[in-house]
Amino acid sequence: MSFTIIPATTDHAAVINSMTHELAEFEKLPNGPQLSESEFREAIAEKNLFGFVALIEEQIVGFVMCYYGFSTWQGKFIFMEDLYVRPAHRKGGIGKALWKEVAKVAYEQNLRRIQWTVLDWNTNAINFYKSIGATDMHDRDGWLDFRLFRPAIAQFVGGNSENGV
Amino acid sequence: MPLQIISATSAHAAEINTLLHELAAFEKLPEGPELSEGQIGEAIANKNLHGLLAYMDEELAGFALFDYSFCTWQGKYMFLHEIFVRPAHRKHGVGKGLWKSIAKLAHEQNLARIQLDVLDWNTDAIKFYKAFGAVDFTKEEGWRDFRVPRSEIAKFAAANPSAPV
Repeated sequence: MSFTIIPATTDHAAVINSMTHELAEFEKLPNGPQLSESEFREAIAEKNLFGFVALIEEQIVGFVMCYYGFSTWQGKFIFMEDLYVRPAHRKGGIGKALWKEVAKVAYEQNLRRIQWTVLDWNTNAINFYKSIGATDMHDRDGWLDFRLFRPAIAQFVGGNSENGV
Repeated sequence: MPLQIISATSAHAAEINTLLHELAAFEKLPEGPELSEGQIGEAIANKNLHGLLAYMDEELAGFALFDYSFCTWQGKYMFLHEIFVRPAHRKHGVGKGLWKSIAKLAHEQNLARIQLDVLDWNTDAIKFYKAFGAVDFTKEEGWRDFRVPRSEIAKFAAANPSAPV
């Protein structure tokens, strides 16, 4: 079945937000997405997020959402946050087509890289990414992703930070 | 004078560039930094990049560089790109002082998280971050950092853009 790919707009925010939840379920991290639909819409409106949606007969069947980061080593880059195609529409080239749109944006701006994270058990995704020339940065250099969340930030700032931490 | 921490301006580009290269050499990735001093200065002036510089007795002792991004799950967050204390100035609280300033900024803006990468062999850094409540997200949930460089982007984006995928 043929599909079209168009830039994501605020009109798509509700559907993309709900598909973000579908993706999180698949990733076995259903509590991950914490943004409301209006926060999502605002992020697209203010261009803090940008992306593309894939449509079949005017229904959204897949999407990709990205944002820009700035690396001290390589300057501006694209961080691809979510890439998702609904199960019923897989194996039809939609994922690759969505990815191609992101690659075109990066290419037009002459960016040095596109970056994202993938779960170590998601072998289908890993194989797809390796087929398009991606490198696992943990395998290559040993990089690990560390995070400090809001409660720990608050504790550090407001709590016993003087006492031998 | 003991420890002094200030916000970086574009006037500090040369000092920042020096420290970036010192840190990359320590990380055994000396070819990593590709930006010129001018590009670093411009990034700070345009607020694409933010920094803190630490001085001990008026000598340049260390720095932290960060930017802000927007995640589809948690909204605005801080990405800490670099935090480094020169060997001669270690064990005097410079690292903790920098970390505290970073955490205060994140806390004041009510950010969902601070995120950073660390090399898996850098056990001192790993201990330091864990002491402040940071979590190894690669271990915790299995996330791996993937990247595709400019050469691969070009292959994918520019080749036969109108051919079926």
